[in-house]
Amino acid sequence: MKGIVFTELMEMVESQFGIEMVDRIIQPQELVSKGVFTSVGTYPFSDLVSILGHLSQATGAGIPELEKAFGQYLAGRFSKLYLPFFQRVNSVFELLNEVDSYIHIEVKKLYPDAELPQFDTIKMDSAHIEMIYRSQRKMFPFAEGLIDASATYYQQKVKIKVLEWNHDGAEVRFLVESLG
Amino acid sequence: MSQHEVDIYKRLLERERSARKEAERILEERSMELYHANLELKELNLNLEKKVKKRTKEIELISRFPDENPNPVFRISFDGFLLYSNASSAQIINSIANNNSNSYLGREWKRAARLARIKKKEFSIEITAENRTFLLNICPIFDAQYINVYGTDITKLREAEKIADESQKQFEQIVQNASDIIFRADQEGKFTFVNPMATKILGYTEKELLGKHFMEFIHPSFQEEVYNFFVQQLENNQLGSYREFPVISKSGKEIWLAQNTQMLFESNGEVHVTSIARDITEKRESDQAVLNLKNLLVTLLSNFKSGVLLADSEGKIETTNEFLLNWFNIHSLDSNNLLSIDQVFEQIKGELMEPEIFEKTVQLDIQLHKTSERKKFFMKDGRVFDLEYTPIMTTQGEKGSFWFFHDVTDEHNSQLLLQYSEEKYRGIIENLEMGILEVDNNENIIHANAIFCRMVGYEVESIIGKNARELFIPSEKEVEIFNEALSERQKGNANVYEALVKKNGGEQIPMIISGAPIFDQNGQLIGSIGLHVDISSQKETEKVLAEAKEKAEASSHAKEVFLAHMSHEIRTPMNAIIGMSSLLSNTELTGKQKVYLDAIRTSSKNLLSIINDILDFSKIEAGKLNVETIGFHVDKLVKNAIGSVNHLAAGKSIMLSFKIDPKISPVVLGDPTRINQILLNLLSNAIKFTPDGKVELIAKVVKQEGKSQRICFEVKDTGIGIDASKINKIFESFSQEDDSVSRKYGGTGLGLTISKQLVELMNGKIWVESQKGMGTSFFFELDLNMGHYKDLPHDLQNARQSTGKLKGLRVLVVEDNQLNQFLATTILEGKGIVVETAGNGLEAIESLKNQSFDLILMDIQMPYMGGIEATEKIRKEMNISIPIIALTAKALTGDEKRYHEAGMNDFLSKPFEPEILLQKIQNILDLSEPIPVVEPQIPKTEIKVIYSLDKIKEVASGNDEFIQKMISIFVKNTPTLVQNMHVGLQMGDYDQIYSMAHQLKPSIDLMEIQEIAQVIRNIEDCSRNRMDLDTLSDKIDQVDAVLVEVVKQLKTEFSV
Repeated sequence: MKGIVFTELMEMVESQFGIEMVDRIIQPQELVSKGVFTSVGTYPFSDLVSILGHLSQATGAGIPELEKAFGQYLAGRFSKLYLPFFQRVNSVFELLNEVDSYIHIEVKKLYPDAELPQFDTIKMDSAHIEMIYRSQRKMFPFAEGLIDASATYYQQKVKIKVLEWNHDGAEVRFLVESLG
Repeated sequence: MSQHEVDIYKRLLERERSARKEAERILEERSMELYHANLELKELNLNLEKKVKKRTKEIELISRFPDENPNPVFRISFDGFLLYSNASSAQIINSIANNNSNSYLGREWKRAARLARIKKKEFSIEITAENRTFLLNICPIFDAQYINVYGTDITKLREAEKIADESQKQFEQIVQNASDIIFRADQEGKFTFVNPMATKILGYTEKELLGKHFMEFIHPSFQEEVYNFFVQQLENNQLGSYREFPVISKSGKEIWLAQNTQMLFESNGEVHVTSIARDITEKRESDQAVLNLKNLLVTLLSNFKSGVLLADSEGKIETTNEFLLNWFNIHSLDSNNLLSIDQVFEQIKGELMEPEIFEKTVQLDIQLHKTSERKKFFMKDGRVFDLEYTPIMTTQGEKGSFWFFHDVTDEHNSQLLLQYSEEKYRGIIENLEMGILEVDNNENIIHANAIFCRMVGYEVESIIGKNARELFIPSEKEVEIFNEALSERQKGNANVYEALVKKNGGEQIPMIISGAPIFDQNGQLIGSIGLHVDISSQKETEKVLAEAKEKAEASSHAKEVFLAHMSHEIRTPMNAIIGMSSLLSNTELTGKQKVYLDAIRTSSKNLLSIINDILDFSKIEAGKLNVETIGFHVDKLVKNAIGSVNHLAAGKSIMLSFKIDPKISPVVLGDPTRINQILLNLLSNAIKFTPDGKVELIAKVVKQEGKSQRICFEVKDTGIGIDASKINKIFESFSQEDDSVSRKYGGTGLGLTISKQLVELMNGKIWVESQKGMGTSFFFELDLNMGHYKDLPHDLQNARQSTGKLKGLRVLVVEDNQLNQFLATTILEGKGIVVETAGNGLEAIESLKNQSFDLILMDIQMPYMGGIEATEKIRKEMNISIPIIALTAKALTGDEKRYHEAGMNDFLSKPFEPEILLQKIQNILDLSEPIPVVEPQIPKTEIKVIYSLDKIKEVASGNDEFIQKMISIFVKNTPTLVQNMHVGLQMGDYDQIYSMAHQLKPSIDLMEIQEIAQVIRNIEDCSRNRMDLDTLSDKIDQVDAVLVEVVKQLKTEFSV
């Protein structure tokens, strides 16, 4: 997992819970990275699982909840950091459509070693999009948060419905509805 | 801040610091990476640029492609804008670019562009711009919204098409108008196309031909082989073939075609057949005719009796013949294996005496190529040939050589012989002491040999050029002879004559001259040559002989005259005695008188017989007896003979009998009178010398050869026989067995001699077989020709005519002898004839002046004027043409002729039988006009000149002896030939008839017997063509009658 995920998570935790929380959730002895993250680095997923675990412990929020919240936070960050991607399309559906076919490809160009989920569009119209999320990290809630927050950039409100939950969340078919 | 917080911040700081270091490190890494990537990129870029450059160049080149395309290539957008055009499209583009829809091309383009959009696919249009035609392939590219146009300049193509079109039309015309059959067929052989000539020649319409199999029209006998031929062509993938075969037209006519067949083999296995066939029926016929001619020529050549050699300009032999091959023994030559001319000449040279000359000759011939003179060549084995050369054109139309080899061996040898014999004879002549004189047409001397010069006593130089006539003719007397000789020469005749020739000095020498004309090679008379023999000594001898002959003749003549006188003097009183006794016998006589009269008659008959014997004997001795050849009946003769001696046998107890062989021809030709005489002699002898018993006369055929029968007469008696020792002498004159016989039996002893002489005169044989005391048989054999009843004397042919007509006739009897006068008168008056008498010729003429008579009986021997003279006067001066019969005691040769010439009609020899006289008178007076004939003929109204002796006289050139000979031959042979012709007719033997007619023809022509000249030819033709026998019979009868007439006239005229 790219370092940016860790650095942003730290920022989010710092800004929401303060530095102490940050300190608390980082247990260097559990982490391969020893808690040293730079956005340009690459660290194992197990480090994230550890951090999220401690965060969940510390906050009492479930991990899916945390993932979702993080997703929402990251979407906002993305829309600033990677504005061109958002500017390319006119709606969240279009954006979603492009995740796999464009965005992730560009990511992979720069960071060939990035571990990214797969998003396949099954069908799409102006108000709906049905997709399948596949990832070994099984972080669908995270994806949900990203999607939800991305819609906001396009002044859209969406509702996400899980249609199928397979392989313990490694494969999820979901529908995104535009609410207005 | 609490320690807790400080720890937190410491840890945070630591983490930050580490993070930063890590980030720096990563940055550093990334920069390195970037740097390397950059390098790489630069390099790539460089490569890429290179590639791009190269590519661009390639593209440039490629992009030049359309520019270099001579054909227009351009691109126009759908909305009509020219996106690209190559240089070649300038012409077209000018009009259609920028939607210029006013021009023709513009309009065209617009239409095409529209079409393109509509059709939505490629298509082509044809456009003509400035005398050029383009095919534009229009390809709309919808994705790019433009049209690519690919043009092809098809101007030349269209022109070529036009030419091809015209060519095609021309070819079609040719095919349509062709004078040969042109057709196409599919691989099954069925017609797919036929030209008009095909329909014309075959007689079927196009409809009737198309789809039909070509086999249907081929002549049945040839179908199999033609079919196999084409199948083979098919199987062998043979493109072209040629064959000749016959087809049958619709009308059933057979037509020969020479067909070229092309087969086109397509890759897909299909076969197209195209054929041209020519009608060669006529050509075949003429080829056949040529072949026949060639065969004829070959046959002629091979049978040609000279060697033939024909060579072309290269020395190869074109033709030769068997004669040449055999002549020069050339065997390796046959029609397929020809030697060269050099080889042949080598072989020929090997057999020649002078091969080099031959070599030169033939080489020169070839070189000059002109007709050359014939040259003779001698071969080692003695053969000789003439070589003849002619330049010709060979069958290929080139200069050729033609040699003839003529076998002249025989001629050459003959020439040599001739030369040799000429030299021999020249030598002989020189040695024979013959003088040779050669003169020209004017009788000027050209040449005289030494002997002639010696004979005439001149030097040869002194007489050359002089006139022979002037020199040698002694006197006027001789001129005639020489003139005649000259005229003979001028006629081209040679002859031999006697003449006196004047010698130098005047002496006349008798010579025999054999003269012959000399001709040049054109047959023109250029002179004559004479062989002269001095016959002075012969002449002497001749003179002596002539004198002796005269004497002999005189004595002979004297004998004859004596005989004649004797005959006359004796016969006249004999005639009277016999005649009178005959008359007396018709009167009333007493028995005694009858007896006495009988004695007188018998004695006088005996005496007459003896006299006749003596006279005959003398005649035969003098050679004056002639034997007749007339027709007679053998059986009648035999019977008459028996009848005549009957009275002799009657007194004795002798049985007289006769036997006649039935094989004897009913009519034979011979002298019945003489045969009768012989028979009477033999019979009377037999009776005389036979006291009792029998005498038999047997006549039989012992040999038959063609038309001739050998008849053997036998007089057999049972008399006293003849002593063996005396038999030989029996035929000798005057001998009887011995003198005692004559005393006892009488007779002059001449009888047998005369019989023998008569038999021998008739070319027969006579002999005797006898046994003393037993009997005797006398035999004589005669070869007699079988005759026809027409050969019989007419007075025997005709029945005895009645003498009733004689009554009232007025006859003048001219006779000096009183007794004979009386006799004749009595005989005639006995028949009611009125008789006047005259004692001699003068008295007769006087009587004739005042009185008229119907007939004159004229004695010959009379005083004052004899019968001949009187008759002449009567005929010529008095113009009296009443019949005159001569009464003659003589019967010498030549008398008949004289009687006729005098104008007498007939003659009768004394003593005559009254019956004969009366009959003659009858016959003569049956004729309406007096005709001078020898014997009464079949009545004719007029005698024509049925023959002419002009031709014979011409041939004989005045030689009477020759004429006489000719006539006698004619007279002797003609009746025989005619008889044989009759026999042939009887037997239906055409060849015989032809043969006889053929033999008669020349004589008929020679004698100019016009009446039957054509008839005899008809007989020849008819018999050769085996025509109807009746027709032939009539013609043969006609010829017979005329020839009988001619022969009789000739007999009179020439006494043959």
